[in-house]
Amino acid sequence: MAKVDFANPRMPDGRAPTSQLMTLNMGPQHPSTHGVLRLKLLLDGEIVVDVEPVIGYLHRGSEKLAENMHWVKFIPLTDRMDYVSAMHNNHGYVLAVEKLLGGPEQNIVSERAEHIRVFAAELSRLCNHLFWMGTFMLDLGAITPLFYALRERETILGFLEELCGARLTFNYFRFGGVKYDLPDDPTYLPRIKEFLAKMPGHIAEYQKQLRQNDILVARLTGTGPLSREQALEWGITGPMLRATGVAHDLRKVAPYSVYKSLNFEVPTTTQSDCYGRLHVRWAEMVESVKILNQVVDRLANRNLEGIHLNPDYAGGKILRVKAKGEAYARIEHPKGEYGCHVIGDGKQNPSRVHVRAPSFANLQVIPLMARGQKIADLVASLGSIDIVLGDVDR
Amino acid sequence: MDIQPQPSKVPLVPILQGMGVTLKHFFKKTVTTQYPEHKLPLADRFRGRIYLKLETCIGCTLCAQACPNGSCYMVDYDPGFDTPQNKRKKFPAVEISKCMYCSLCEEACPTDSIRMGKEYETAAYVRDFDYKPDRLSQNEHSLGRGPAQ
Amino acid sequence: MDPLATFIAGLLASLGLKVPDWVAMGLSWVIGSVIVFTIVLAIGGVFTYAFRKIFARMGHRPGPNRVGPGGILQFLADGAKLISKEDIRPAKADRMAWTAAVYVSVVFTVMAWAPLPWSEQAIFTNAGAGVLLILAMGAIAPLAEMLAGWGSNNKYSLFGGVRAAALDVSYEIPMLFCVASIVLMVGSLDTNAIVRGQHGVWFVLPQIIGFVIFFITALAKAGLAPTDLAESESELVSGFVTEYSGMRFGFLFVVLFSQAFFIGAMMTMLYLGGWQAPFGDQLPILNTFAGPFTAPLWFVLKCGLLSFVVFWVWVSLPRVRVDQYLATAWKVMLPLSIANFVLTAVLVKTGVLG
Repeated sequence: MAKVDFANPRMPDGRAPTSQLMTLNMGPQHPSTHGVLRLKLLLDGEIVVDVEPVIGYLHRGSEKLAENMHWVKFIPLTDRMDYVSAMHNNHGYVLAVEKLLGGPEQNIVSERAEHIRVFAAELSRLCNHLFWMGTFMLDLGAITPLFYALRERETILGFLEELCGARLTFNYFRFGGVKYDLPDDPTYLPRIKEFLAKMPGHIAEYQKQLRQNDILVARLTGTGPLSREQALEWGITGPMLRATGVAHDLRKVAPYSVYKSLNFEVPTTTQSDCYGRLHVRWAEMVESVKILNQVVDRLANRNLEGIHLNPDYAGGKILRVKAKGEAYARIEHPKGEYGCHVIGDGKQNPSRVHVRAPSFANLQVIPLMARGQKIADLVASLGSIDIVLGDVDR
Repeated sequence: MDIQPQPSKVPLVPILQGMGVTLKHFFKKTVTTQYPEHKLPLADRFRGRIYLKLETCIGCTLCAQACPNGSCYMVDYDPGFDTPQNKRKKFPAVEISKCMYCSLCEEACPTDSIRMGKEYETAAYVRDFDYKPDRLSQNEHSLGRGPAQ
Repeated sequence: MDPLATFIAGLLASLGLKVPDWVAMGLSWVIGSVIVFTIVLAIGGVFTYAFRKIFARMGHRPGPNRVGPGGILQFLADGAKLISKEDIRPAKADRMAWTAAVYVSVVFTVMAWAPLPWSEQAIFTNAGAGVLLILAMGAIAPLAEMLAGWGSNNKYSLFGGVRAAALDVSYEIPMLFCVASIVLMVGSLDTNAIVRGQHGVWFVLPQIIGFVIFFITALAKAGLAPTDLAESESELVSGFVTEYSGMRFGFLFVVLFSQAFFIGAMMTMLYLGGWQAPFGDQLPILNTFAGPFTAPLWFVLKCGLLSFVVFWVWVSLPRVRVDQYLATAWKVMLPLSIANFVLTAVLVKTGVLG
């Protein structure tokens, strides 16, 4: 991230400023920096001349901690990176380690476990997008959408609690499967089907309230612009990239788990501003519901083979996992591409873990998006990136 | 699938539509649960605070090994009755304030002696969250802090 | 002597105290001020509760429900909390301006309430130019916001103050044109005369454009969401109130919420027939069913309804952007209000209206 020269400031076009500029410190305690992000702003009145994000206020050294613990113990720590969609963090790390454990030729995860994984991950994606929509609208000053979004999110969290016992930090994925099979409760899947049937209606309701709202359209159209070239140059992924018209979704481009066999589309738009990103995420929620419907049908009707967890990695054996080699796994996290690079030297603990966090990579374009726009636009742009500071700082 | 956002052609109408949504909800029932009086039912697998069964614990230290942040550790403790399966009398103790409820100890335990309970109201006026085996085997109610189960 | 002074003199006389007129007048001023002040604070307080309840219901929640039946005493608990909080003054604040801002804000807000006609008699300052007085008091609002913004020595506060001033000044003009149209129809600046002028037909019908513009401009001037640009939590933390804590913040907060009622009161007075009952001519019972309290009751009912709309808009809409909203003031609101004014003038002159 580029440093801003506050001593000799320059306007976005390189000129020397004609009036005295103002330095404003936004965060780390600010209502709309989504946690402990700090932005050093250079302002010309209301207009943002330059932004310098300062990160690290939530740095817990997770990746370093991983080097001193058993392979399995890092899974609950990944929960705490992006705590809004913890399932995906689990998934990325587990996939990477499974590459070391099983290798490409030996599949250690049963088909059933893969379906449960996709099921949990897509519910988590819905949660993430719902929560994003609520907080994004809160950034824009609309307070009720958050409560409508949380209403649905609570239902989903209830389902996830039944699945894995926790509502936020799931610690659900294991090497070779998932911690639990689906709940014994025979009404579990029918209840989920019922919820999924209602979900498009809920999304339509949010859209009715917000989609064409004149104030919202005026505030979001043209706000936080990011061209296709810029997005590709800066390694932007996820809905941010798809809002620039690039249909890059790892579930399609580099399918993992059982996504290859599922029928869904990748929503894109060429309107690469905050308004486009809002629409892309709404459409992704609809696609997630589609995926979930298919997965739930398969879990309910077809007797999927295998058990939820490979017995070689269950029970007390979770501590005996030893892995050698180097692997990188990437998944389509709701926020973008989540990559996990693990190196093992045959011991009980990894010798190196690195996480490519989508929030971190996407946050770096905030100066590009905010330069020359108003403070209110900066807040909207920041909200549209969908950052979680736990993920940025790790 | 390419989306083309369509702003409305008539101004103000979408605003009124949006206000209609909020007004509709104004007359609907609330969806929240009033916490201290009413509680949401907990899932069967809910991971609350840790319990220890002194009778079956074999003192194998797997739980302490499985704990990611060292909140679970082994102590010497005399339960007051004969524990033939645990001759060295080693039992786990858990620092509940540090515990992150990941349930790896439960998973690693070969005898299902350590398990996650359903209690989540562990707040107390005195800062002593270092649960030794005796307290670990009692529930919050018998410790005189949480409400009745 | 005004009615309150006469009443006080009569009361004292019945107790055997003969006081000169000037004493009765003085007493009436003191007592009247206290009453208005109390009403403003009470309404502001109750409205914090009402807003939270409405907001909660619209968000599927029950809202405050712990203190008193249905949480109705929540605002008292909040007040007690605010009073008992430490009053923190920023070390490098401009003490004079920082302190004065709260007083300016409260005093002039309360003063604007004086000419409100709660009924034909229940009016605290029956000045001949009551509307002018209200608008003048409203025009002082930017001063308080600028004082708070500058005096706090905080950049967020300064932003809030400047935004508030810009917004107030911009939206003052369309608002004045709306009021001027009414004054043109009535031919008087007297608040009671305006209400009486609406006998039969409320001004909301001939002045529907003015009604809408007045509502929007009043929201902007009062600094209520979606136009709360001076506070705009997500951008400026709390704008010009950032550095206030304890009861100083409490006063600014209560003033903000009392504005919601005041907008309703102004619009009721100007457009919705004030204290007059709807269909009073057809159904005389509506004019008398609560004895002497009928007229104030109608007034408060209408104000309450409009305040509900204010809160409803508040929770439903996203916040506007400052430059766009200022542009709206000058490019949409001002031409529309002038057109409305000219139209009214033509219609009044030709005898269609007024």
